[in-house]
Amino acid sequence: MNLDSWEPKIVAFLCKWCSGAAAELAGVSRLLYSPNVIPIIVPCSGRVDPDLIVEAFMNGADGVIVAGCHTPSDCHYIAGNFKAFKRVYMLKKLLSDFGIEPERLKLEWVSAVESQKLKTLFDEFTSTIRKLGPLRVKIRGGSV
Amino acid sequence: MNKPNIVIVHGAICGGCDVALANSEEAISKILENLDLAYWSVAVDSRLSDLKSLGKIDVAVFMGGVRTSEDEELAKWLREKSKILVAFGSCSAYGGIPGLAALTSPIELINLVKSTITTSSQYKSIIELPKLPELSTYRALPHVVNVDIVVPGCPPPIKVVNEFVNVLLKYIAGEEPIGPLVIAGSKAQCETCPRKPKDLSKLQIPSIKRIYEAKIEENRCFLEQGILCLGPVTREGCEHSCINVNMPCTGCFGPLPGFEDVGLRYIAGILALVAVEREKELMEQGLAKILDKLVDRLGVLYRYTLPRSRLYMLKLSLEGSEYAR
Repeated sequence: MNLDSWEPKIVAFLCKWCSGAAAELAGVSRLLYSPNVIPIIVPCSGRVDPDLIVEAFMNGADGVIVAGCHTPSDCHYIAGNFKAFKRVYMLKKLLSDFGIEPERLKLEWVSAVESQKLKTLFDEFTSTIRKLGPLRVKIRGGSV
Repeated sequence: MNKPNIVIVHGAICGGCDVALANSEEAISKILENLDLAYWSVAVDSRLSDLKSLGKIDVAVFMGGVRTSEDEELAKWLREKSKILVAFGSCSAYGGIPGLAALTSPIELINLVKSTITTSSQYKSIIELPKLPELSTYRALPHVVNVDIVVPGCPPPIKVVNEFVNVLLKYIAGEEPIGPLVIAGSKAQCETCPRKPKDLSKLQIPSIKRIYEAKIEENRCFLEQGILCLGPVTREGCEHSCINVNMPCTGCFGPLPGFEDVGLRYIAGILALVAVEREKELMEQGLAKILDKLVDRLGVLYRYTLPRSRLYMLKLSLEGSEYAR
């Protein structure tokens, strides 16, 4: 892979009610955010199955963002964001068990008015992934 | 003799599956009555060369995972020669306990052995090591070749072994094998589990406890008591031999139809329910701490299925392994 021309690919799962609305607002407010991020609007952050995140990694994503409503009581479905927190937290641990940097997965709470926060999140995460480089596993052991 | 023949072959195995097969009187007598036992290195006097000299094989039973180059070669050879190939036991079907070592690369294992070898250096030149088959990336049998019948269990219980032999005899009588047939139920353990939670729709897991920390009540759902039980994501059919002796299910019967990754499904479905009633108050002071109580993540979530998990496939494909799917 040519590292000079490499650009990070990032998938962002945004909940429809808060983070997705913030993305809409960012669009309306003409905020520029990193074009590496592909936003996908889902009904709720609690709907993001760990399988979907792994699917994104398997299909070439270098990083995944899950964004939902603020805790404790912003979630439109009352407790979806807590479920998202637990799933992402455990999946991060599992990723590191399998030798993949857990920093490649990020969970953030963004409300419908925080378009600036979303922009900062996207930009900062893109630069984090740029530093980490393409998705890879830590190969342990070296050569015989 | 016109009986069809059967061979029973080993990969990486502890020997429990052989015992399970030999232990089932009904199954073993049916096998001996209807089939010609051509090779079973632990039970009849036979060498690998005897196996290789067989012209045709009707039924090949493969026990254990694929760990060495020899296992892989054998598995491929069996697929070519035999009409029906059976993955017998969880190691063969899903990876099993030795599959937990799959995350450690063969190179790392060899380096470890070499660096901790106790023979003093003056004898090093004298001892000639026998030529061993090469360690390869650990895989379950269906990852290497297509199989016709999968017999899960660690080891497969007698009921399952009997059922397997009945299916086998049907196939031999002329029925065509239809894809990989799993000799287990297609519902979750919980469907037939004798321990029912008070209210299934409001299942609560107050915290995560390790087995030594809890005084486990009998006849009460393990999850309600904070003991992680893999029943909800595991096929039924084992007659709950662990649950009946007050131990949680560890998932040896493998994932339910419809998904392959037990760990991810468990995180999505069951771990998301941990402390579900106290989420709001705990969010600030330690919802994460409760989840941290699950220390041995791979050992609990992937005890028998790690080499078939999607995360393992992801790892293999990122390593550029030829075995990635």
